[in-house]
Amino acid sequence: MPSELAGGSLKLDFRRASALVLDRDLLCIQILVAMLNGFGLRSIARYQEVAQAIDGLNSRTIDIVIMDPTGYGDKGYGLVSWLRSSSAHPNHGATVVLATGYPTVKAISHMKTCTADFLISKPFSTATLFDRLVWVAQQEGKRGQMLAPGNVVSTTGSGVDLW
Amino acid sequence: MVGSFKRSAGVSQFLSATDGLDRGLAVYMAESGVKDLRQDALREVISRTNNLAATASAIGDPPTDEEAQQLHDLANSIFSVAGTFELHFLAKTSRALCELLNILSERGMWRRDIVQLHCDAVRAARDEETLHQSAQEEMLLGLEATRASLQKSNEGAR
Repeated sequence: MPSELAGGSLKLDFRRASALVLDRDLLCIQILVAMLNGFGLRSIARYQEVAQAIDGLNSRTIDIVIMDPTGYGDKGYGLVSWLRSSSAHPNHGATVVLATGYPTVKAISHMKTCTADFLISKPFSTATLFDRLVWVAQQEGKRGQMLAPGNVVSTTGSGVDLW
Repeated sequence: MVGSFKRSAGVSQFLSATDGLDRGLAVYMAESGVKDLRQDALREVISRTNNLAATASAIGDPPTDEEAQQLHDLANSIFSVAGTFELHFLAKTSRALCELLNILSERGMWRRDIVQLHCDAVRAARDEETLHQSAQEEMLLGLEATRASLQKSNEGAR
């Protein structure tokens, strides 16, 4: 773990941040929202359908998208690709994090190519989510590369070696 | 139709050395919020394990791709939340089932007996406090051995 994370010298001031959570699983949405609220986030749009999430992205500024593409077929990955390819869209620069459990083999290849910024393996702890959000925040200018911090992320967390 | 609003700059703008919550407080606050969900989550997990057992019994032998996917999604939905609420044995058994279903899918084969064994383990793990640690470890080793022998026998048949 980077020393600044271990020492806690870096902070996330999420008071003005706006998030969008997309997940088929309502319980997972509730868990994620509880964690983000704890981190100080107050503006969190939550959706269970891709079409609703697209409407949400078209209607307000979203700083971070956290979504589980499982269960949406190609539509979930399509949302990420659409956002990344729409350079004129106000939310084109939003950070996109995929949060997934144990994906199928087919899903892994989709995740690698859909141009999301980062992947978090479910189940994750609050500390893990915080550290990974800080890490993602430090990677400005490296969008869409699905990067992994080798010393923070366990790529075997869900049995999937994405990197 | 895209509305008119401020452009997003991503999450990096919220990184700060001075303002906001430090890591310890942020994690503490977040954990408190998650704790409040625990009872509802446990009820939901029980419902999902019941659903998994019912689905495993109802699907074809071999199942259609959709049925196999449905079983994987159910196992994954248990795995995805169990660990968050310290249901580690349940997380491990449901993960084992996901792994098994991926192996079977990759190899285009189906073994109802082994799938059923994994589903039974998930169901047993639901009441993990009733199982001694050594019994849990033994069960996980047994599941691992069945998957390993499945992979080995399939490689031998190639």
